[in-house]
Order: sequence, then structure tokens, then C-alpha cells
Amino acid sequence: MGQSLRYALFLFAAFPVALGAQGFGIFEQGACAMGRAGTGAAAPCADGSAMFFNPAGLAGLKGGRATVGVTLLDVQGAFTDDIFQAKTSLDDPLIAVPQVYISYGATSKLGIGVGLFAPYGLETQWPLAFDGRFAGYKNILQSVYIQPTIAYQVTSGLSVGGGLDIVLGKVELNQRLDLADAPVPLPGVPLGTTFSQFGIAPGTDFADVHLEATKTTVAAHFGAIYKVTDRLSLGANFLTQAKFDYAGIATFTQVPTNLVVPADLTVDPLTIPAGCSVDDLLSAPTAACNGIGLNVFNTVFTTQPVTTTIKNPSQLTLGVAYKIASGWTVLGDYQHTWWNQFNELVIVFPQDLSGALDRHLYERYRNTDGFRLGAEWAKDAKWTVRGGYLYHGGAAPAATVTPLLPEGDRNEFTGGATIKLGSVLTADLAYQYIRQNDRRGRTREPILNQVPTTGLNNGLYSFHAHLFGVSLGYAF
Amino acid sequence: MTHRRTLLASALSLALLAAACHQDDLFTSRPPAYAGGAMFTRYVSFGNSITAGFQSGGLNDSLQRAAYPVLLAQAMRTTFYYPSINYVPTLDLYGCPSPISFIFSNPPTRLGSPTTPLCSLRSANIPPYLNNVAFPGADVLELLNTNYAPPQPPPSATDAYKLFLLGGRTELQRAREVSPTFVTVWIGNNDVLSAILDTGDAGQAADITPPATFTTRFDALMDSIDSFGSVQGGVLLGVVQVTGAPYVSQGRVYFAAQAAIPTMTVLPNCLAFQALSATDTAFVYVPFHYGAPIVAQAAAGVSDTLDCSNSHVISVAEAVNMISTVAQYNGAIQQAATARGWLFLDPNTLLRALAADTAAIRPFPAFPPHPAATTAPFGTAISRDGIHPSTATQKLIAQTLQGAINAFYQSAIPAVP
Repeated sequence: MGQSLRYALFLFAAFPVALGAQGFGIFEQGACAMGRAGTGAAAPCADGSAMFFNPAGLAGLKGGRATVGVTLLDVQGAFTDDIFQAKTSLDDPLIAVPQVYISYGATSKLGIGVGLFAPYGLETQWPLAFDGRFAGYKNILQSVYIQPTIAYQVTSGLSVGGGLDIVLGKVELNQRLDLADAPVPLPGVPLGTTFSQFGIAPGTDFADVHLEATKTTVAAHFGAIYKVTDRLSLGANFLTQAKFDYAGIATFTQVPTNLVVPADLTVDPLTIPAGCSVDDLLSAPTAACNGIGLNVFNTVFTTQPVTTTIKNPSQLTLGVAYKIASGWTVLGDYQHTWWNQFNELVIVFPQDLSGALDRHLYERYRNTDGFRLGAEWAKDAKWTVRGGYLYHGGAAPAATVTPLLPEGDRNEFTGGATIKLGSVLTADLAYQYIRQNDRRGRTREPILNQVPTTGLNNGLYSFHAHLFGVSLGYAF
Repeated sequence: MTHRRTLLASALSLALLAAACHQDDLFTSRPPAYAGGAMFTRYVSFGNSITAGFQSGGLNDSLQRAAYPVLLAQAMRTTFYYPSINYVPTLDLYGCPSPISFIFSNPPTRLGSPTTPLCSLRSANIPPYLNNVAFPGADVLELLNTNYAPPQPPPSATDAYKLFLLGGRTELQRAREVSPTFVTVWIGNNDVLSAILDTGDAGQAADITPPATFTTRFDALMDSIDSFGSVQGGVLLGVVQVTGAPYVSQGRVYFAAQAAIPTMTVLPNCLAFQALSATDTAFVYVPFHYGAPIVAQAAAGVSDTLDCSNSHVISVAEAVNMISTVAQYNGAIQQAATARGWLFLDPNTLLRALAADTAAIRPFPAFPPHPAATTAPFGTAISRDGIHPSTATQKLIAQTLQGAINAFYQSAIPAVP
């Protein structure tokens, strides 16, 4: 238990930051809407994606429609450190975010459907040589929403809709532990003394940590659309918070330091002999180390349960759509996301009854506002083209920009088209470019459960992404 | 319609341009703002105990911050980290080890109390990287080898510094992390110094790295530094003629001292010498660890004799070999500097000037009851161990380097504070 106490202060310094993503709140839940910058609260696309953009859009449907789509995210990011101006690039793979929508007009006023989409998620992978590996080198968050939806046309102008979301959540974090930050659990060494005070250099990996947890929860979705005139529509859409009480497993693997004690080292009352490997010293006692062994991989860093609570924040979208003559429609949406719900995160290791391994992380995210503008031109019965622009602010304050989520203010540009392939088949294509403003951030997390400050920032994060959306719709 | 599209396109273009502006001002690192300052953006000092700041047989933050590379970096206005060792007298922490306060006791008296830890730990404020990568005991081979693989010099207590200061990595490895733009390299003293510290057979050739071996290793070290690809310039400092260190005294000085100590007899063989040049002469040298007990015994009234044919004394032939070896070392170092267009600085010029003042470098230690026995037993220029420069000399070295670098590189490094 004593060892647990000593190691408590530097574990998982950054784990939950991975979830504080405004920028990784994924709004691209349909190629049609993506092409017009995600606008559609007042006039959702006809591909069934209304289930995400505004459930009220299902009211008044004729017949049925099934749409399958995917958004591919080609994320490019890098960190350039202040001192050496050395640039480390993200190693992210091409990320695929799927969508499936099945909708049906049960009556002239009643629409029903079920949708599958993923409005929150992220994946950041950094090279193992990156200093940020101690915060997290491979971080994955997945939230898949399955939403049965119902909508009703209350009056000729007013439609309302709603859905119940069954949300499948999964979180994974991989990080390295730095021996320099690790407390020395030896008798005679003052409490809080770290290996760095014995000379171990910062950046000396000695353990690899893998955390993985899943949870299913529920949320709700509501929307309304009011047609003021044949040309002008107003819409509102609200997705409630999804709270995940995650339970998972933490596993630890020793990473060789390949360091050797070069001369007899006396730490009263022990003498660690010259030639003793530091890796042996961390393991079970061996003769080579004069019978000394900290045995941390059998006492502290053992496979054990871990729990935490994370909230996907609620979001509100207000929209307007106006049909201009000659097949043109212009759309504008305002989005507000309550990221302040992501203020502090507590990670609990239930088996550690001392509570010493538990972590309290202060994220202090702030609410964000997004503004979307889109335009669409129905050229003819076969082709519809569209484009858009959006801007939104960053959720993370200046003191919480980390390798797990180096996000910030963004400008985004989109374009797309719908092609009617036949009487029942429709294809949608879209492209989106995301340009995030460069932002100062850090690679390391504070220890001792401290509140992070901008004083820890040690470089510049840059980020941009190319998104490609494609979907195929079938009318029945 | 065309007009509307043009407006939309223009607006999008402007937005793209605004978004594309790279925010260079978000970076905090800036090169020093004086002529030639960019070269000193990241300065790394290679070396041994002198460069690390070792004085009076000890090392702590108080001494480390007085080391010449720290002072030079302050003058350069460049960020410079060293592996700070706790020096907190109020907590009974004096260093690793605590510096000697009185050399004439056996063992020497060190700062602190009987309960003072043998070695105070590194400061809890750990720097992100190191600019001063020097460690006491380093010879040229130990800078070169990867993680101290064989072959290595014989084990030494100073080997602990490899872990304690450098985290088990070599000077080259720690330096490479910094991508230095400028380096100073002062290495080689320990390739010959063991010969005067050898308590069994002082001066023996086995304690000295052969010049050809030294040259090979030094060239390999420089090739490694070249491979960083970031170094724009540097200074290579020559090896000190260790026979000039006041830790060893010329036999003739002991011979003269016997007049004041009637119970001490010094044999005439201690007067041996050999002229090497118009200005240089090799003498018989008596190491402090051998001569001091004889003096102490005689001063206590017990007759004792110093015989300079003893193996503890460095003979003239051995001294000639040491002097010649250092000269060859320095020839190789100078050649390496010339090949790179770097500055070579021979510290012996400075030390000879200091030695001209016998209060700065004493030819014979100030044995008790001399008033300087406690304050500066080997002179004001040398610390209480008889080998390492005092704080004043460290500053003098920094000032010399500052002037020489400015002259050689046409830079304008401000004066050493």
C-alpha cells in the first residue's frame, strides 16, 4: 500500500483530457448536410440524416428511405516545441465514421425511423518518440448513437420530432510512464523523492499503460421545424447530455530502460551494487541487485479495474433556411455546446482502497458557439450542388491544450453534390477542409493533482484535416 | 448571379487567407539579441569536473552555478540548464559529496556535520534537458561510448555521476537532445590526471592514455558532434599541464622547505630536473597525498625523510612523459579545431599567468599553522583540493572564453556578469 501511495501522484496525469473535444465533436453525419457545412436544423436533407440534424424533419415523409454513408477523416496535426523547434506529426490513420438511417412515412403526418451515427469521437496517435507519449500516444474515443425516432406534423407549418438514443461508448488510452517522475519507494528516502533526484533523466520510459473501458447509456434528442412561409423555415434541435459511468481495465507492461547503476549506490540502509540493472531494480528482488527489488509490477502496476465518469455534452442548434428562386436555398445555423459540463474528471481505481491511485483532473472546458452558413442549388432533377462555411471556437482553455486533444478555433469549408442515379438510388458526395488556428499547448501533464496552468505550455500545436463524405440512398 | 458568386468567392478566399496565417508569434524561443547571437541559441558544454563546477572535492548547486559554462551562458543570454545538486545548509545538505573545508585532516574535513548525508540528492526542480553535460571523472572515452559500453577505464567512485548527473546516458547522448548550435569541449585532463593521483605509483605510464589512442578517440568524439548537424561553431580547450597543478609540488620546493622544518629531511635527489625548452622545465614532483603526511609528521616533531626516488614521487622522466603527452593531446585538439574552423584555446597560457603569482597558485601548500591553510591552502586560484579551479578562476576562464569567442567569431557576447 505504501508503494501505491508513492506512485499515486504521477499516474494517468492526462487520461480523461482525451474526451474534452469540441473539435472532435463530429457533426458530419451525412454527406448531404456535410456539403453545406452541417446546416439543416430548419431544413434537413432528405436522406434520413434529419434524425441527427433535426428529428422533426422526418414528419411528412412519403414512402421509405434507407441511407448508408461514411465520413473519412484524414487528420493532419503536429506539435512544434518552443526550444528546438522540432516538429512531431500525428500518426493518425484514416478514420471512418459511419452513418445509417432508415426512415419511413407511416402516414402523411407521422414519420418514423432509426438512425446510427457517431456525433462524438476522436483518435489521436503520436509517434512513441514524442514527448507527449506520457500524456497519451494512442487515444481513442467512440460514441455510437442508435436512435429510434418519431416525428409528427402538428400543423401545416409546425413539425416536431424526438428520439431516444442508446449510446455505446468506448474509450481507450495508451500512455508511457516516465521513471523520472516516479517516486522512489525505498526506506530512508524522503517521501515524494522521485527517481529524477537520483539522476534519471526526464523521458525515461519504464512502463506502458493501456486503459480500456466501455459503457452503454441513454440520451434523448428533440427537434422542431416551423415553416413561416413556403420559402422560410426555422428550426431548433436539442441533443441531451450522455453520461457514461465507464468501467474498464488498466494493464501495465514494463518497458526496459537499459540503464545500469554505474557505481555502488548507498541509500541508507541499502547499498545498490554497481552493475545492477535499473530494470531489475524495479522488478522482483535479484542477486544482481544485492537482493533489492522494488517489485512494482507485482504490487502497484498490476492489472486492475478502473472507473471514471465522462459526459458527452448537450448541444442546441437553431437554424434558418430560405428558398430563393431558381432552385437556390440558403441556410444558416447557430450551435451551442455545453462543454462546461466537462469541468473536472475523477479516475478511480477501486481495488486501491487507499485511493492513492485515484486522479482528479481539472479540465475547465468552456461552452462553445458555432456558426454555419450553407447554400444549395438544385440544378435539375438529377444534380444538386452545395457549399458552405463554418466557424466555431475551441472548448479547451489555454491551460488544457494537450496531445490528447490539441483543439482550438476552426474555420471550415465544404462542398458537395447529390446525384440521382435512378428512380430509387441517390448518391451524395462531400468534401470538407478544416483549418484550425495554431495554438500553444503542452506535452506533459501536471503531477500531484495540480490544476494545470499555461506555464506548462511548451510549444505550438497545428492541425488541419480533410474530410470526405459519401452516402448511398435507396427509396422504397 | 455572377456578381453574387464573385462576392462569395472573394469572401471565402479572404477567410482562407486569414486562416492560413501561421502564428509565429506563438513561439517563445528567441535567439540572443546581439551581433552573432544566433550561434549561441543553444549552447552545450562538454567536459569533466572543471566544466561541471567541481571544487574542493565536492559538487553542489552553489559551485555549479559558479562554473565557467554557466557564467558564459549568462553572458550569452541563452537558456542554460545544469543538473543541480541540492545545497541547502539549513537542511544539512551540502552536495555530492560535500566540499572539503580543511584538507590537512585525515580524512579531510568536509562542510556539514557528522550527520550530513554523504550525497545530497539532485534538486527536485528537474530541467527538461541539460546544457552542461559535463561530469566529474570523465575522460575522452567516456564521452564517446554509448551507454558506457566496454572498453572503459577502471571503475571509479566518480562513475556514480554518470547516473546521478546524466541519467545513465553519455555526454553525447544528452547533448544530442539539445541540438546545440554552439559547443565548448574541454576534455582530456583525466586522461593524464590519474598519474598524479595514483597513490601506488605516481606518474606511471599505465595511468596515461597514449597520445595516439587519445587522438583517435578525440577525433571520434568530434565526428559524433559533427553528426548532430546543428552545431555552428565551438571552442576546443586544450588539456591542462597537470604537473602545474598545486596538488603536486616540485621536489626542489620541498628541499627548500626543510630549512623551516628541522625534523624533515629531503634528499638531494628531489632537486633533479630536465630543461625542456627555454621556458619549460620538468622537475621531480611530490603529490600532496604523499608529501603532506611527511610534512605533518615532521611538524609534529617526528623525524621523517622525503626520498624522491620513491615510487610515490613523480620522477623527471615520468614528468617529461606527462608533459610531452599533454603537448601531443593539445596538438590533436588544435588540429580538430582547425579542421572545423573552430576556436582552439590553450588554458595553460592562463594558468601560467596565474602561477606567476605565488598567492594565486602556491608552489608549496600553505600547511597549518599558515593562515591560508583553511581559506586557500593551494592559492586563491585553486580550490581546496589542489586541482580544481576556484570560483575566481572559473570566472576568469569564462571571461577569457567570452573575449576569445567574440574575437574569433566576430560576435558581441556581453561581458561575463
